[in-house]
Amino acid sequence: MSKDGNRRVTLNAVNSALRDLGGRFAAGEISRSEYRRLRRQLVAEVTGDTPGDDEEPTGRHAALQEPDGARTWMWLIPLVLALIGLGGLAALIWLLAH
Amino acid sequence: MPGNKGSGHGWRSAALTDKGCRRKHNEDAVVARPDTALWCVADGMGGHEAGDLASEMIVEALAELRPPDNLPDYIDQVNDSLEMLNRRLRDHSATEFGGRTMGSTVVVMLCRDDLGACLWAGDSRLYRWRRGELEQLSSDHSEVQKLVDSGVLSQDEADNHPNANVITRAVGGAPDLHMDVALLDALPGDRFLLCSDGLYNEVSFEEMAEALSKGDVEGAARTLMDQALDRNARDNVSVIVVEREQP
Repeated sequence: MSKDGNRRVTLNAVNSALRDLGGRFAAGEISRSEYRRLRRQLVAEVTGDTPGDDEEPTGRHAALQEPDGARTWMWLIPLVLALIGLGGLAALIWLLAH
Repeated sequence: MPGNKGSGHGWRSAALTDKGCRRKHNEDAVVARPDTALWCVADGMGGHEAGDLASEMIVEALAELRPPDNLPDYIDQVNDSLEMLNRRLRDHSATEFGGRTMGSTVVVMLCRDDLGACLWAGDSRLYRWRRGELEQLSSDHSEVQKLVDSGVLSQDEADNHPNANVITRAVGGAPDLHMDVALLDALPGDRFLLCSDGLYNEVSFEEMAEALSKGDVEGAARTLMDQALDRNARDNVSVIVVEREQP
């Protein structure tokens, strides 16, 4: 069988499996995340790509994620609170002393 | 008659859409992006404004995608985008149209090199013409297709069935969207046809094969559109012809 013929057989088998998988998902036998994971696995069998983690962000996922900068300033919050607390304590001591 | 053509990254394509001869508005929308190897026909439903908006929202969202490097991610990206649109359409229908049906069929072809995928919901179709043979790659989500699959109807009987236009799946049609996915390969010289039901209800399978076998992609798309319009196209008509260029 030619290379094209071999690939055609593989594609037909994977498409048949994709149809079955879609039917199981539509019937509620598997969850959306499971359907997605198995679909990626089947597609990767043809493309040769690593199936990858289902949670791995695609372009849109990445856009929806919190930007990295959002977390870098968060350590400042306890520091500011500590400074306010210390200031308050100092003010209280000063009031008591006078 | 809006249309667009273009080439890039080993692909050539031509897209046409027309309101047809009996409808006042065109609720179909098309996108052809040879540069990102993505093509889509969306056939809106819900009447003027609702149907137009649904199909337009779909093609606009897909046209803006920046595709990832590999096919599994590309499929997920398009699927995610359509699921998000499904939610947006249902929200929009509830707030702006009193819950009236607002949706669209969709057929998408996307490729990475010589491998690709078809994602679809509803009865817009994808065909492949290869070395003189035409093959339908998508399978309609419709009541009559169910009857054909179960052997109750022949394909000829299905085409003339009174419920031929009753679809069972669409973007915006239900709270959860399930897109069907099929993989495909694209050899140099292969031609693909994406179309709405307005085309295949007027133009026969044999006539499609004949049109795809001749001339360039623009000529083939023009021929198919003219054939539908010459027969007083009852519905909106959309046609995209895509060709995998010779290396």
